[in-house]
Amino acid sequence: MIKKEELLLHAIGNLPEEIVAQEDIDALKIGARQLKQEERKNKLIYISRCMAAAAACITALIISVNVFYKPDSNKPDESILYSKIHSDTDSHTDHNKASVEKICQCLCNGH
Amino acid sequence: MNDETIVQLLWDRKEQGLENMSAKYENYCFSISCRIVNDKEDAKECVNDTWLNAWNSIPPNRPHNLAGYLAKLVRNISINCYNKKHTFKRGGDNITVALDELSECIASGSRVEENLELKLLTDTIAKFLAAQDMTKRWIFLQRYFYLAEIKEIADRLDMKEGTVKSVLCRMRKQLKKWLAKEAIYL
Repeated sequence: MIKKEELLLHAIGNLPEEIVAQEDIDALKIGARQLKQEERKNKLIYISRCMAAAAACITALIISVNVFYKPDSNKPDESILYSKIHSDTDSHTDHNKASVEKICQCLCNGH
Repeated sequence: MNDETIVQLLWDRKEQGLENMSAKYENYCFSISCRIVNDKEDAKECVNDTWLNAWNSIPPNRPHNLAGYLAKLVRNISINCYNKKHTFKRGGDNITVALDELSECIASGSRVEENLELKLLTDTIAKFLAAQDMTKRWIFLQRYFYLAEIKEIADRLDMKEGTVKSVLCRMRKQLKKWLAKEAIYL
C-alpha cells in the first residue's frame, strides 16, 4: 500500500518534461519581486485586520462597561455632603469638624 | 550541441549522442541527485543509471525537452536509491526488506488501478501548476520535484525564507482545494 505522500511524490515525479524543465532565472527574479510585493500587501492586510479586531474588542469593552457598570445612584456625592454638613457646622469646633469629615467619609464609602 | 541533435543521435543509436548528453548535463543531473541522496558516490551512480535509462528509453520515447526528461529520470532513480538505502538503514527489519525485495517482482511496481490513479493525480497537478504564475510554479517544483531546501530557493530568487514558506503554504492549500474540486481525495 502506497502512502498518500508517496503517491503525491510519485505523481509530481511524473509531471510532463515541459513543466519540470528549469526556467530562466532572470525572468523568475522579476516574478519574485512581484511576489515580495504581494507578500508585503498580505502582511499589511493581516496587520490591518488585527488592528480592526483590537479596535472592535476595545469598543466592545467600553460599551459593556457603560452598560453593565452603573454608578450607584443612591450613593451620596461626597462633595455635596461636605458642603451641606460644613454649612451646618461652621460654628463647631475643629474637633467636631474632624469628626464630621470622618462621618462623611464613612457615609460615602457606604459604611 | 543542441538538444535536438543529441536526441536525434540517441534515436539513431549513436554513442556520440550519449557522450554529448553526459558532457552537457552531468553537473545538472548530479546536483539534482545530490540533493536527494545526499551522498556524492550514490549521486554519481544515479547519474550513470540515468544515462543508461535515457539510452534504453530513447527510442521509443522522443523527448521534446531533454533537460526536463533527464531531470525526471534522475529524480526518480535518486528517490528509489534513497528509499532503498533507508530501508536497510532502518535496521533492515525483515518484513520491510522482504517487501522491498518482492516489489521488484511486480511488473510495473503497481496495480492497474494505482497506475490510473497516479495518472489522474499527475494530470490534475499538471493542470494546477499550469494555472499558476511562472515564479510560483518554479518555487513549487524546486521544493517538491527537485527537493531543494527552502533556503536554497530563497537565495536563488533573492527572497526571504519566510516568503518562500508562505508561498508554498498557500500553494499547498490551493492544491488541496484543487484536488477536492477534481474529486480526488487522498
